[in-house]
Amino acid sequence: MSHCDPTTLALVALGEDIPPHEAEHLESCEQCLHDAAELAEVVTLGREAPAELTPAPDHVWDGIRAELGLLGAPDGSDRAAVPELPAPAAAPAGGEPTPPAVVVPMRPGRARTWAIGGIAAAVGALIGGSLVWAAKDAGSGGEQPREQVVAQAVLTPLNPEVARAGEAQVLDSPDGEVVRVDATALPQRDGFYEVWLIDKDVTKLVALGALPAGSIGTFTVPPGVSIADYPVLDISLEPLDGNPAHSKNSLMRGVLEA
Amino acid sequence: MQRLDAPVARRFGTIGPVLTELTDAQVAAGFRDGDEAALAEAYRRWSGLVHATALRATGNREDAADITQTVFVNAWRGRATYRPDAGSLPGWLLTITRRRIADHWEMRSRVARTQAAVEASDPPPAATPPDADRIAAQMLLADELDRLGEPAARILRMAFYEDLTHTQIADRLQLPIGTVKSHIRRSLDRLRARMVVEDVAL
Repeated sequence: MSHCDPTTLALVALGEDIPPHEAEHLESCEQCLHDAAELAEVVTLGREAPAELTPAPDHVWDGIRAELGLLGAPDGSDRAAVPELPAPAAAPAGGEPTPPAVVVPMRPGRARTWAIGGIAAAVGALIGGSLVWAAKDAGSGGEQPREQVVAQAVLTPLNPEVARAGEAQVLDSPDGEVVRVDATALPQRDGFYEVWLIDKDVTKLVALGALPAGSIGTFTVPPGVSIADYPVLDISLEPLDGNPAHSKNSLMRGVLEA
Repeated sequence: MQRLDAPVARRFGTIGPVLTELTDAQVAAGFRDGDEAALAEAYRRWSGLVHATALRATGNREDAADITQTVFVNAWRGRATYRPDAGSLPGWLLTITRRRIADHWEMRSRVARTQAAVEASDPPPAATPPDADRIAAQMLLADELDRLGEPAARILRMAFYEDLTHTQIADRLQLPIGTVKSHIRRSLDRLRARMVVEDVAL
């Protein structure tokens, strides 16, 4: 029989009940047990983790600066450096940027470094364990302030692995312009997705930040950056290599228009 | 390398709220290159991670503050040895943190032994140091959970801390069950990936 659905393994790790036929498979499949045990360990660590990290007291930063002999503003604002500008993804002759023709091969999987002792016991306990439902209310959904859509774009897939188009909207908020990106069709890959604004000539670009795991995110347009100057919204897959430049591996792109 | 155009130069050339837009990798690169603004930003992003780990491992506020200071001073002075391809900057900071925590416990037991020798009494049973690796992993998870974005973080918190099933979460958030399941799967995968990337002992 086929392996358990990844979602099923995630639910097992959380201690939820799963369909009997999947549970039966899980008991006898080393691969699925291994995956479930890893996820269960993540859940255990998460449940042991504090709700929030206790920040260091203020004097610690002063102590660091004093010990290192750093002068100037406490936030280092008088010592700004200019990181390298990422190289542009592509420079088409004009008009809308064209998708890169290169299909980037999958990165090899990382070596696993997990200790996997007691898997069967861990998973067995999860499957058999009873759950206590907390009665706490999750709170209200929170109301969104009114924001005006000033530009939007359909994000066209540039890679066959992206199942469908996404969308982006530029909203005028009280704190300035923000870009809301919905790219839920992006595949799960090693690394992270970075959102960029690029100018029409595809020669200049501004990094907006990493797309959260759900592939829906809101990003602040940096003050001084105009959507009119940087109308192309690009999403690239970035390897975890510490290199801040654009990977040139764009998966989705669209032109923001009013 | 191209020249920075004015808006981009302004963006990178000012600090504070704007620097917060940089990716972790960009901050790490600036840190390694000796950019003091990147040190400030790295401290802003990850001192909580370091401090919370030290606090849980020592159970003492002063020791935790001392360790946090030492970690950032060590990291800045040793920044040339940081290799981005071997792991993230917060992962590296946590490695240093674990070493300083080990030093802390080593010193405590040495003090206890010396005291026992001076007083000619039996040495006290060695205190068992906490599992700093595990504590670091817990803090890393708390940190990563914060970065999931919404509604993923909220969904996972409800699953972790309120013990709600995916159907209950879907019900409360008025989201389709499939959406909630998909967020749970992707978030757990991402948390697991972070643990693997940081090479945390699990």
